[in-house]
Amino acid sequence: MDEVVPPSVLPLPRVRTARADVWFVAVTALRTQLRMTRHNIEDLMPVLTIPLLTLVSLAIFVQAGRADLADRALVASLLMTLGQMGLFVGSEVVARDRTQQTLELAVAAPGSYFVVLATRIFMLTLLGVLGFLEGWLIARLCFGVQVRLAHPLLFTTAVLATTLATTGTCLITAAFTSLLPNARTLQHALNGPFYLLGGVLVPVTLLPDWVQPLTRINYFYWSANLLRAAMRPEPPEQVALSLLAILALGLASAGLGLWLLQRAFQHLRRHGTLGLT
Amino acid sequence: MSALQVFRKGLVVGREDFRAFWNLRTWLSAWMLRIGTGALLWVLVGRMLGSEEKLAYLLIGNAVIAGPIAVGMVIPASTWDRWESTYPLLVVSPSSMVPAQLGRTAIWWLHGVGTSLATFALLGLCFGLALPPRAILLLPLIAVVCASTHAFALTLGGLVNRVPPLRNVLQNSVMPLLMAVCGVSVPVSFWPPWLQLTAQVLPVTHGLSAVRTLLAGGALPEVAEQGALELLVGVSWLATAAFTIDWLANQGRADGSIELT
Repeated sequence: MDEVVPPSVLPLPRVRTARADVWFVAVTALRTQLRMTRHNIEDLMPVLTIPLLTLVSLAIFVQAGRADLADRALVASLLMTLGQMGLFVGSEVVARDRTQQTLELAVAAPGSYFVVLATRIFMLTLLGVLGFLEGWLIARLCFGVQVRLAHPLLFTTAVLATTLATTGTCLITAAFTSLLPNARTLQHALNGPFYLLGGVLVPVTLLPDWVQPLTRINYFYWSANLLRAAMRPEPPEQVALSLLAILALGLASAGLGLWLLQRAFQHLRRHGTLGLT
Repeated sequence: MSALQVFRKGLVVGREDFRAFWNLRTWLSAWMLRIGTGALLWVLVGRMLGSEEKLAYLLIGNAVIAGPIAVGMVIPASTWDRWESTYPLLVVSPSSMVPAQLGRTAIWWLHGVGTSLATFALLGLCFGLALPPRAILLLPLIAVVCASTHAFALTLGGLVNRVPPLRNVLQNSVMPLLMAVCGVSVPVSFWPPWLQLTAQVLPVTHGLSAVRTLLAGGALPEVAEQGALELLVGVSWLATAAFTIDWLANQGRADGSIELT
Protein backbone atom coordinates (compact mmCIF):
# COMPACT_ATOMS: atom_id res chain seq x y z
CA MET A 1 0.00 0.00 0.00
CA ASP A 2 1.26 3.45 -0.95
CA GLU A 3 2.37 5.67 1.87
CA VAL A 4 0.03 8.62 2.42
CA VAL A 5 1.91 11.87 2.13
CA PRO A 6 0.57 14.58 4.43
CA PRO A 7 -0.56 17.65 2.46
CA SER A 8 1.95 19.88 4.19
CA VAL A 9 4.92 18.10 2.57
CA LEU A 10 3.44 17.82 -0.93
CA PRO A 11 5.62 19.78 -3.35
CA LEU A 12 4.05 23.04 -4.52
CA PRO A 13 3.54 23.38 -8.29
CA ARG A 14 6.50 25.14 -9.84
CA VAL A 15 5.65 28.64 -11.01
CA ARG A 16 7.64 30.06 -13.89
CA THR A 17 7.95 33.81 -14.20
CA ALA A 18 9.82 34.36 -17.45
CA ARG A 19 10.48 37.87 -18.71
CA ALA A 20 7.82 37.37 -21.38
CA ASP A 21 5.32 36.62 -18.62
CA VAL A 22 6.14 39.92 -16.92
CA TRP A 23 5.40 41.82 -20.12
CA PHE A 24 2.20 39.83 -20.61
CA VAL A 25 1.11 40.64 -17.05
CA ALA A 26 1.98 44.33 -17.51
CA VAL A 27 0.11 44.67 -20.80
CA THR A 28 -2.91 42.84 -19.41
CA ALA A 29 -2.89 45.03 -16.28
CA LEU A 30 -2.69 48.12 -18.45
CA ARG A 31 -5.63 47.07 -20.60
CA THR A 32 -7.65 46.03 -17.57
CA GLN A 33 -7.05 49.39 -15.87
CA LEU A 34 -8.11 51.28 -18.99
CA ARG A 35 -11.29 49.21 -19.16
CA MET A 36 -12.00 49.82 -15.44
CA THR A 37 -11.36 53.56 -15.74
CA ARG A 38 -13.72 53.80 -18.72
CA HIS A 39 -16.52 52.68 -16.42
CA ASN A 40 -15.59 54.79 -13.42
CA ILE A 41 -15.71 58.56 -13.81
CA GLU A 42 -14.21 58.97 -10.32
CA ASP A 43 -10.89 57.78 -11.74
CA LEU A 44 -10.83 60.75 -14.06
CA MET A 45 -11.83 63.33 -11.47
CA PRO A 46 -8.43 65.10 -11.36
CA VAL A 47 -8.35 65.27 -15.16
CA LEU A 48 -11.80 66.83 -15.20
CA THR A 49 -11.31 69.28 -12.35
CA ILE A 50 -7.66 70.28 -11.70
CA PRO A 51 -7.12 71.99 -15.08
CA LEU A 52 -9.94 74.37 -14.16
CA LEU A 53 -7.36 76.01 -11.92
CA THR A 54 -5.78 77.24 -15.16
CA LEU A 55 -8.72 79.67 -15.26
CA VAL A 56 -7.61 81.11 -11.93
CA SER A 57 -3.87 81.34 -12.65
CA LEU A 58 -4.29 82.68 -16.18
CA ALA A 59 -6.86 85.23 -15.03
CA ILE A 60 -4.29 86.54 -12.52
CA PHE A 61 -1.50 86.64 -15.12
CA VAL A 62 -3.64 88.24 -17.85
CA GLN A 63 -5.09 90.82 -15.46
CA ALA A 64 -1.55 91.72 -14.35
CA GLY A 65 -0.49 92.06 -18.00
CA ARG A 66 1.77 89.01 -17.74
CA ALA A 67 0.28 86.61 -20.28
CA ASP A 68 3.90 85.60 -20.99
CA LEU A 69 3.70 83.53 -17.77
CA ALA A 70 1.06 81.27 -19.32
CA ASP A 71 3.58 78.42 -19.53
CA ARG A 72 3.73 78.44 -15.73
CA ALA A 73 -0.05 78.07 -15.53
CA LEU A 74 -0.03 75.14 -17.96
CA VAL A 75 2.90 73.36 -16.32
CA ALA A 76 1.20 73.74 -12.92
CA SER A 77 -2.02 72.33 -14.36
CA LEU A 78 -0.18 69.38 -15.92
CA LEU A 79 1.92 68.51 -12.88
CA MET A 80 -0.95 68.89 -10.42
CA THR A 81 -3.13 66.63 -12.58
CA LEU A 82 -0.37 64.02 -12.87
CA GLY A 83 0.24 64.23 -9.14
CA GLN A 84 -3.44 63.96 -8.22
CA MET A 85 -3.97 61.06 -10.62
CA GLY A 86 -1.13 59.21 -8.93
CA LEU A 87 -1.64 60.32 -5.35
CA PHE A 88 -5.42 60.18 -5.12
CA VAL A 89 -6.37 57.62 -7.78
CA GLY A 90 -3.32 55.41 -8.31
CA SER A 91 -2.60 55.09 -4.61
CA GLU A 92 -6.09 53.71 -4.08
CA VAL A 93 -5.56 50.68 -6.35
CA VAL A 94 -4.55 48.28 -3.56
CA ALA A 95 -7.19 49.59 -1.16
CA ARG A 96 -9.81 49.23 -3.90
CA ASP A 97 -8.71 45.68 -4.77
CA ARG A 98 -9.00 44.87 -1.10
CA THR A 99 -12.48 46.37 -0.82
CA GLN A 100 -13.64 44.56 -3.93
CA GLN A 101 -12.21 41.27 -2.62
CA THR A 102 -9.93 40.82 -5.65
CA LEU A 103 -6.64 41.36 -3.83
CA GLU A 104 -6.41 37.77 -2.56
CA LEU A 105 -6.87 36.41 -6.08
CA ALA A 106 -4.39 38.86 -7.57
CA VAL A 107 -1.75 38.08 -4.94
CA ALA A 108 -2.29 34.33 -5.25
CA ALA A 109 -1.89 34.45 -9.05
CA PRO A 110 1.52 33.38 -10.46
CA GLY A 111 2.14 36.80 -12.02
CA SER A 112 3.77 39.45 -9.84
CA TYR A 113 1.21 41.68 -8.17
CA PHE A 114 3.80 44.44 -7.94
CA VAL A 115 4.10 44.49 -11.74
CA VAL A 116 0.30 44.69 -11.95
CA LEU A 117 0.18 47.47 -9.38
CA ALA A 118 3.01 49.56 -10.85
CA THR A 119 1.52 49.25 -14.35
CA ARG A 120 -1.94 50.28 -13.19
CA ILE A 121 -0.61 53.29 -11.28
CA PHE A 122 1.53 54.26 -14.29
CA MET A 123 -1.48 54.05 -16.60
CA LEU A 124 -3.68 56.14 -14.30
CA THR A 125 -0.96 58.76 -13.84
CA LEU A 126 -0.31 58.96 -17.57
CA LEU A 127 -3.97 59.81 -18.13
CA GLY A 128 -3.16 63.04 -16.29
CA VAL A 129 -1.56 64.27 -19.53
CA LEU A 130 -5.11 65.02 -20.67
CA GLY A 131 -5.02 67.79 -18.07
CA PHE A 132 -2.45 69.62 -20.17
CA LEU A 133 -4.74 69.48 -23.18
CA GLU A 134 -7.62 70.84 -21.11
CA GLY A 135 -5.43 73.63 -19.70
CA TRP A 136 -4.19 74.48 -23.21
CA LEU A 137 -7.78 74.72 -24.46
CA ILE A 138 -8.77 76.97 -21.53
CA ALA A 139 -5.84 79.27 -22.32
CA ARG A 140 -6.73 79.38 -26.02
CA LEU A 141 -10.52 79.63 -25.80
CA CYS A 142 -11.04 81.70 -22.63
CA PHE A 143 -8.05 84.04 -22.82
CA GLY A 144 -6.90 83.83 -26.44
CA VAL A 145 -3.43 82.84 -25.22
CA GLN A 146 -1.62 80.34 -27.40
CA VAL A 147 1.17 78.39 -25.79
CA ARG A 148 3.60 76.63 -28.10
CA LEU A 149 5.80 73.64 -27.40
CA ALA A 150 9.22 74.75 -28.59
CA HIS A 151 10.83 71.38 -27.83
CA PRO A 152 8.15 68.69 -28.16
CA LEU A 153 10.56 65.76 -27.82
CA LEU A 154 11.94 67.12 -24.57
CA PHE A 155 8.39 67.80 -23.36
CA THR A 156 7.33 64.20 -24.09
CA THR A 157 10.44 62.80 -22.40
CA ALA A 158 9.91 64.99 -19.34
CA VAL A 159 6.24 63.93 -19.08
CA LEU A 160 7.17 60.24 -19.30
CA ALA A 161 9.96 60.62 -16.73
CA THR A 162 7.58 62.50 -14.40
CA THR A 163 4.94 59.81 -14.83
CA LEU A 164 7.50 57.14 -13.91
CA ALA A 165 8.63 59.12 -10.86
CA THR A 166 5.02 59.67 -9.78
CA THR A 167 4.39 55.92 -10.12
CA GLY A 168 7.38 55.23 -7.89
CA THR A 169 6.24 57.75 -5.29
CA CYS A 170 2.69 56.43 -5.31
CA LEU A 171 3.89 52.91 -4.51
CA ILE A 172 4.77 54.39 -1.10
CA THR A 173 1.32 55.93 -0.58
CA ALA A 174 -0.32 52.76 -1.95
CA ALA A 175 1.42 50.79 0.81
CA PHE A 176 -0.07 53.12 3.41
CA THR A 177 -3.58 53.18 1.93
CA SER A 178 -3.57 49.37 1.77
CA LEU A 179 -2.79 49.08 5.45
CA LEU A 180 -4.02 52.13 7.31
CA PRO A 181 -7.71 52.98 7.39
CA ASN A 182 -7.04 56.71 7.80
CA ALA A 183 -4.24 56.96 5.23
CA ARG A 184 -6.24 59.53 3.30
CA THR A 185 -5.16 62.01 5.92
CA LEU A 186 -1.62 61.41 4.66
CA GLN A 187 -2.75 61.97 1.07
CA HIS A 188 -4.31 65.28 2.06
CA ALA A 189 -1.23 66.32 4.00
CA LEU A 190 1.18 65.54 1.16
CA ASN A 191 -0.83 67.26 -1.51
CA GLY A 192 -0.17 70.96 -0.94
CA PRO A 193 3.47 70.84 0.22
CA PHE A 194 4.35 68.67 -2.76
CA TYR A 195 3.31 71.35 -5.26
CA LEU A 196 4.56 74.28 -3.21
CA LEU A 197 8.01 72.74 -2.72
CA GLY A 198 8.06 71.60 -6.33
CA GLY A 199 7.73 75.14 -7.61
CA VAL A 200 5.04 74.05 -10.05
CA LEU A 201 3.47 77.53 -10.21
CA VAL A 202 5.75 79.95 -8.37
CA PRO A 203 9.56 79.79 -8.24
CA VAL A 204 10.94 78.05 -5.17
CA THR A 205 13.28 81.04 -4.70
CA LEU A 206 10.28 82.82 -3.18
CA LEU A 207 10.27 80.30 -0.33
CA PRO A 208 12.41 80.78 2.80
CA ASP A 209 16.08 79.75 2.59
CA TRP A 210 15.72 76.89 5.06
CA VAL A 211 13.18 75.23 2.76
CA GLN A 212 15.39 75.36 -0.35
CA PRO A 213 17.24 72.01 0.19
CA LEU A 214 13.87 70.24 0.45
CA THR A 215 12.87 71.43 -3.01
CA ARG A 216 15.77 69.52 -4.64
CA ILE A 217 14.55 66.16 -3.32
CA ASN A 218 11.12 66.75 -4.81
CA TYR A 219 11.07 65.48 -8.40
CA PHE A 220 8.40 68.05 -9.27
CA TYR A 221 11.07 70.74 -8.92
CA TRP A 222 13.12 69.16 -11.71
CA SER A 223 10.04 68.31 -13.79
CA ALA A 224 8.63 71.84 -13.60
CA ASN A 225 11.94 73.37 -14.73
CA LEU A 226 12.30 70.87 -17.56
CA LEU A 227 8.71 71.24 -18.80
CA ARG A 228 8.92 75.04 -18.78
CA ALA A 229 12.24 74.85 -20.65
CA ALA A 230 10.56 72.61 -23.23
CA MET A 231 7.92 75.28 -23.85
CA ARG A 232 10.31 78.18 -24.32
CA PRO A 233 12.20 78.87 -27.57
CA GLU A 234 15.61 79.25 -25.83
CA PRO A 235 17.90 76.19 -25.84
CA PRO A 236 17.06 74.19 -22.72
CA GLU A 237 19.70 73.88 -20.03
CA GLN A 238 20.58 71.10 -17.56
CA VAL A 239 18.43 68.59 -19.45
CA ALA A 240 20.49 65.52 -18.55
CA LEU A 241 20.83 66.54 -14.91
CA SER A 242 17.10 67.22 -14.56
CA LEU A 243 16.09 63.94 -16.25
CA LEU A 244 18.59 62.02 -14.13
CA ALA A 245 17.27 63.66 -10.95
CA ILE A 246 13.63 62.87 -11.82
CA LEU A 247 14.42 59.23 -12.63
CA ALA A 248 16.74 58.74 -9.64
CA LEU A 249 14.20 60.19 -7.20
CA GLY A 250 11.47 58.06 -8.81
CA LEU A 251 13.60 54.93 -8.59
CA ALA A 252 14.47 55.57 -4.95
CA SER A 253 10.76 56.09 -4.15
CA ALA A 254 9.82 52.93 -6.05
CA GLY A 255 12.39 50.93 -4.08
CA LEU A 256 11.07 52.25 -0.80
CA GLY A 257 7.48 51.72 -1.99
CA LEU A 258 8.13 48.09 -2.91
CA TRP A 259 9.78 47.42 0.43
CA LEU A 260 6.84 49.01 2.27
CA LEU A 261 4.33 47.09 0.15
CA GLN A 262 6.09 43.80 0.92
CA ARG A 263 5.96 44.63 4.62
CA ALA A 264 2.30 45.62 4.34
CA PHE A 265 1.38 42.44 2.49
CA GLN A 266 3.29 40.29 5.00
CA HIS A 267 1.27 41.97 7.74
CA LEU A 268 -2.03 41.42 5.92
CA ARG A 269 -1.18 37.77 5.18
CA ARG A 270 -0.08 37.10 8.75
CA HIS A 271 -3.36 38.49 10.06
CA GLY A 272 -5.45 36.88 7.33
CA THR A 273 -6.92 40.24 6.32
CA LEU A 274 -5.84 40.49 2.68
CA GLY A 275 -9.44 40.27 1.59
CA LEU A 276 -11.08 41.83 4.59
CA THR A 277 -12.28 45.40 4.62
CA MET B 1 -41.16 64.55 15.03
CA SER B 2 -40.77 68.27 14.43
CA ALA B 3 -38.42 69.70 11.82
CA LEU B 4 -36.17 70.96 14.63
CA GLN B 5 -35.91 67.48 16.14
CA VAL B 6 -35.03 66.03 12.74
CA PHE B 7 -32.43 68.77 12.29
CA ARG B 8 -30.90 67.91 15.69
CA LYS B 9 -30.70 64.20 14.80
CA GLY B 10 -29.06 65.24 11.54
CA LEU B 11 -26.46 67.21 13.50
CA VAL B 12 -25.53 64.07 15.44
CA VAL B 13 -25.08 62.08 12.22
CA GLY B 14 -23.05 64.93 10.76
CA ARG B 15 -20.76 64.97 13.77
CA GLU B 16 -20.03 61.28 13.22
CA ASP B 17 -19.42 61.93 9.50
CA PHE B 18 -16.85 64.54 10.44
CA ARG B 19 -15.18 62.23 12.95
CA ALA B 20 -14.74 59.64 10.20
CA PHE B 21 -12.47 62.14 8.44
CA TRP B 22 -10.83 64.29 11.07
CA ASN B 23 -10.03 64.68 14.72
CA LEU B 24 -8.52 67.82 16.24
CA ARG B 25 -4.95 66.63 15.70
CA THR B 26 -5.37 65.60 12.04
CA TRP B 27 -7.50 68.69 11.32
CA LEU B 28 -4.81 71.01 12.64
CA SER B 29 -1.97 69.11 10.95
CA ALA B 30 -3.02 67.37 7.73
CA TRP B 31 -6.04 69.47 6.79
CA MET B 32 -4.50 72.82 7.59
CA LEU B 33 -1.23 71.78 5.91
CA ARG B 34 -3.17 71.07 2.75
CA ILE B 35 -5.32 74.19 2.83
CA GLY B 36 -2.53 76.44 4.12
CA THR B 37 0.02 75.40 1.50
CA GLY B 38 -2.64 75.62 -1.22
CA ALA B 39 -3.48 79.19 -0.21
CA LEU B 40 0.22 80.03 0.14
CA LEU B 41 0.80 78.89 -3.43
CA TRP B 42 -1.72 81.42 -4.74
CA VAL B 43 -0.60 84.25 -2.48
CA LEU B 44 3.00 83.80 -3.64
CA VAL B 45 1.81 84.47 -7.19
CA GLY B 46 1.38 88.08 -6.01
CA ARG B 47 4.99 88.13 -4.88
CA MET B 48 6.11 86.58 -8.16
CA LEU B 49 4.33 89.40 -10.00
CA GLY B 50 6.24 91.86 -7.82
CA SER B 51 3.11 93.56 -6.53
CA GLU B 52 2.45 93.89 -2.79
CA GLU B 53 -1.05 95.14 -3.64
CA LYS B 54 -1.76 91.96 -5.61
CA LEU B 55 -0.27 89.90 -2.79
CA ALA B 56 -2.65 91.48 -0.27
CA TYR B 57 -5.57 90.99 -2.67
CA LEU B 58 -4.75 87.29 -3.12
CA LEU B 59 -4.13 86.83 0.60
CA ILE B 60 -7.59 88.09 1.60
CA GLY B 61 -9.29 86.27 -1.27
CA ASN B 62 -7.63 82.94 -0.55
CA ALA B 63 -8.11 83.17 3.21
CA VAL B 64 -11.85 83.71 2.71
CA ILE B 65 -12.30 81.09 -0.05
CA ALA B 66 -10.61 78.45 2.14
CA GLY B 67 -13.91 78.30 4.07
CA PRO B 68 -16.19 77.70 1.07
CA ILE B 69 -13.68 75.13 -0.25
CA ALA B 70 -14.13 73.22 3.02
CA VAL B 71 -17.90 73.69 2.90
CA GLY B 72 -17.81 72.08 -0.56
CA MET B 73 -17.92 68.74 1.29
CA VAL B 74 -21.66 69.36 1.56
CA ILE B 75 -22.04 68.30 -2.10
CA PRO B 76 -20.79 64.71 -1.65
CA ALA B 77 -22.20 64.57 1.89
CA SER B 78 -25.68 65.16 0.46
CA THR B 79 -25.43 61.82 -1.34
CA TRP B 80 -24.12 59.70 1.53
CA ASP B 81 -27.62 58.59 2.49
CA ARG B 82 -27.71 56.94 -0.93
CA TRP B 83 -24.63 54.82 -0.21
CA GLU B 84 -25.84 53.97 3.27
CA SER B 85 -29.29 52.97 1.95
CA THR B 86 -30.96 55.33 4.40
CA TYR B 87 -32.15 57.58 1.58
CA PRO B 88 -35.36 55.59 0.85
CA LEU B 89 -36.19 55.63 4.58
CA LEU B 90 -35.81 59.41 4.66
CA VAL B 91 -37.91 59.79 1.53
CA VAL B 92 -40.81 57.74 2.89
CA SER B 93 -40.70 59.30 6.37
CA PRO B 94 -43.42 61.86 7.12
CA SER B 95 -40.89 64.69 7.65
CA SER B 96 -39.42 66.74 4.83
CA MET B 97 -35.93 65.71 3.68
CA VAL B 98 -34.69 69.28 4.11
CA PRO B 99 -34.08 69.44 7.90
CA ALA B 100 -32.41 66.03 7.80
CA GLN B 101 -30.04 67.09 5.01
CA LEU B 102 -29.47 70.52 6.53
CA GLY B 103 -28.67 69.00 9.93
CA ARG B 104 -26.39 66.28 8.60
CA THR B 105 -24.35 68.70 6.51
CA ALA B 106 -24.23 71.60 9.01
CA ILE B 107 -20.96 70.31 10.46
CA TRP B 108 -19.21 71.25 7.20
CA TRP B 109 -20.32 74.85 7.69
CA LEU B 110 -18.51 74.87 11.01
CA HIS B 111 -15.54 73.17 9.34
CA GLY B 112 -15.54 75.96 6.74
CA VAL B 113 -15.68 78.81 9.27
CA GLY B 114 -12.80 77.26 11.24
CA THR B 115 -10.77 76.66 8.09
CA SER B 116 -11.18 80.22 6.84
CA LEU B 117 -10.27 81.79 10.19
CA ALA B 118 -7.27 79.49 10.63
CA THR B 119 -6.10 80.31 7.08
CA PHE B 120 -6.42 84.02 7.84
CA ALA B 121 -4.27 83.54 10.93
CA LEU B 122 -1.70 81.42 9.07
CA LEU B 123 -1.35 83.72 6.07
CA GLY B 124 -1.40 86.77 8.32
CA LEU B 125 1.56 85.35 10.25
CA CYS B 126 3.46 84.41 7.09
CA PHE B 127 3.06 87.78 5.38
CA GLY B 128 2.83 90.09 8.39
CA LEU B 129 -0.77 91.14 7.83
CA ALA B 130 -1.75 93.50 10.64
CA LEU B 131 -5.43 93.15 11.45
CA PRO B 132 -7.23 96.22 12.85
CA PRO B 133 -9.59 95.81 15.87
CA ARG B 134 -12.58 95.95 13.55
CA ALA B 135 -11.30 92.65 12.05
CA ILE B 136 -13.38 90.98 14.78
CA LEU B 137 -16.22 91.46 12.29
CA LEU B 138 -14.52 88.87 10.10
CA LEU B 139 -16.18 86.19 12.18
CA PRO B 140 -19.81 87.04 11.28
CA LEU B 141 -18.87 87.84 7.68
CA ILE B 142 -17.07 84.53 7.18
CA ALA B 143 -19.93 82.72 8.91
CA VAL B 144 -22.34 84.28 6.40
CA VAL B 145 -20.09 83.46 3.41
CA CYS B 146 -19.84 79.83 4.55
CA ALA B 147 -23.59 79.69 5.22
CA SER B 148 -24.47 80.94 1.73
CA THR B 149 -21.98 78.46 0.23
CA HIS B 150 -23.60 75.76 2.35
CA ALA B 151 -27.02 76.58 0.89
CA PHE B 152 -25.58 76.68 -2.64
CA ALA B 153 -23.82 73.34 -2.10
CA LEU B 154 -27.04 71.83 -0.71
CA THR B 155 -28.80 72.72 -3.96
CA LEU B 156 -26.03 71.10 -6.00
CA GLY B 157 -26.01 68.13 -3.60
CA GLY B 158 -29.76 67.74 -4.11
CA LEU B 159 -29.28 67.73 -7.88
CA VAL B 160 -26.34 65.32 -7.81
CA ASN B 161 -28.42 62.93 -5.72
CA ARG B 162 -29.91 61.89 -9.05
CA VAL B 163 -26.43 60.93 -10.32
CA PRO B 164 -24.40 60.18 -7.18
CA PRO B 165 -21.20 59.05 -9.00
CA LEU B 166 -20.72 62.67 -10.09
CA ARG B 167 -20.67 64.02 -6.52
CA ASN B 168 -16.90 64.47 -6.18
CA VAL B 169 -16.44 65.69 -9.74
CA LEU B 170 -19.07 68.35 -9.14
CA GLN B 171 -17.53 69.41 -5.82
CA ASN B 172 -14.07 69.73 -7.29
CA SER B 173 -15.30 71.56 -10.40
CA VAL B 174 -17.39 74.15 -8.61
CA MET B 175 -14.68 75.34 -6.24
CA PRO B 176 -12.14 76.45 -8.91
CA LEU B 177 -15.00 78.23 -10.69
CA LEU B 178 -15.91 80.13 -7.52
CA MET B 179 -12.21 80.96 -7.08
CA ALA B 180 -12.05 82.33 -10.60
CA VAL B 181 -15.33 84.23 -10.86
CA CYS B 182 -16.23 85.54 -7.38
CA GLY B 183 -13.43 88.07 -6.92
CA VAL B 184 -10.99 85.79 -5.09
CA SER B 185 -8.09 86.10 -7.52
CA VAL B 186 -9.12 88.90 -9.86
CA PRO B 187 -11.84 91.56 -9.51
CA VAL B 188 -15.26 90.49 -10.79
CA SER B 189 -15.03 93.35 -13.31
CA PHE B 190 -12.25 91.42 -15.10
CA TRP B 191 -14.80 89.00 -16.57
CA PRO B 192 -17.28 89.53 -19.41
CA PRO B 193 -20.62 91.17 -18.42
CA TRP B 194 -22.62 87.93 -18.44
CA LEU B 195 -20.14 86.34 -16.04
CA GLN B 196 -20.16 89.44 -13.82
CA LEU B 197 -23.92 89.08 -13.62
CA THR B 198 -23.60 85.39 -12.74
CA ALA B 199 -21.13 86.26 -9.98
CA GLN B 200 -23.76 88.47 -8.34
CA VAL B 201 -25.99 85.45 -7.61
CA LEU B 202 -23.18 83.14 -6.55
CA PRO B 203 -22.06 82.78 -2.94
CA VAL B 204 -18.77 84.41 -1.83
CA THR B 205 -18.90 87.45 -4.19
CA HIS B 206 -20.66 89.93 -1.87
CA GLY B 207 -19.29 88.50 1.38
CA LEU B 208 -15.72 88.67 0.12
CA SER B 209 -16.35 92.21 -1.07
CA ALA B 210 -17.54 93.05 2.47
CA VAL B 211 -14.34 91.54 3.94
CA ARG B 212 -12.18 93.57 1.56
CA THR B 213 -14.07 96.78 2.44
CA LEU B 214 -13.77 95.98 6.15
CA LEU B 215 -10.02 95.39 6.04
CA ALA B 216 -9.44 98.40 3.80
CA GLY B 217 -11.02 100.60 6.46
CA GLY B 218 -14.21 101.26 4.47
CA ALA B 219 -17.43 102.55 5.99
CA LEU B 220 -19.16 100.00 8.22
CA PRO B 221 -22.63 100.61 6.68
CA GLU B 222 -21.12 99.63 3.32
CA VAL B 223 -19.69 96.46 4.91
CA ALA B 224 -23.10 95.69 6.41
CA GLU B 225 -24.81 96.26 3.06
CA GLN B 226 -22.48 93.85 1.25
CA GLY B 227 -22.82 91.34 4.08
CA ALA B 228 -26.61 91.60 3.85
CA LEU B 229 -26.43 90.97 0.10
CA GLU B 230 -24.41 87.82 0.77
CA LEU B 231 -27.05 86.76 3.28
CA LEU B 232 -29.79 87.39 0.73
CA VAL B 233 -27.95 85.25 -1.84
CA GLY B 234 -27.63 82.52 0.81
CA VAL B 235 -31.33 82.64 1.74
CA SER B 236 -32.26 82.44 -1.95
CA TRP B 237 -30.05 79.38 -2.40
CA LEU B 238 -31.53 77.84 0.74
CA ALA B 239 -35.03 78.24 -0.68
CA THR B 240 -33.83 76.69 -3.95
CA ALA B 241 -32.21 73.83 -2.04
CA ALA B 242 -35.37 73.21 0.00
CA PHE B 243 -37.45 73.03 -3.16
CA THR B 244 -34.89 70.92 -5.07
CA ILE B 245 -34.31 68.34 -2.33
CA ASP B 246 -37.98 67.51 -1.76
CA TRP B 247 -38.94 67.80 -5.43
CA LEU B 248 -36.18 65.43 -6.54
CA ALA B 249 -37.02 63.01 -3.72
CA ASN B 250 -40.61 62.92 -4.94
CA GLN B 251 -39.42 62.49 -8.51
CA GLY B 252 -37.29 59.57 -7.37
CA ARG B 253 -40.26 58.06 -5.58
CA ALA B 254 -42.34 58.45 -8.74
CA ASP B 255 -39.83 56.78 -11.06
CA GLY B 256 -38.59 54.21 -8.53
CA SER B 257 -34.97 55.41 -8.50
CA ILE B 258 -34.63 56.29 -4.82
CA GLU B 259 -32.62 53.15 -4.11
CA LEU B 260 -30.23 53.50 -7.03
CA THR B 261 -26.67 54.50 -6.20
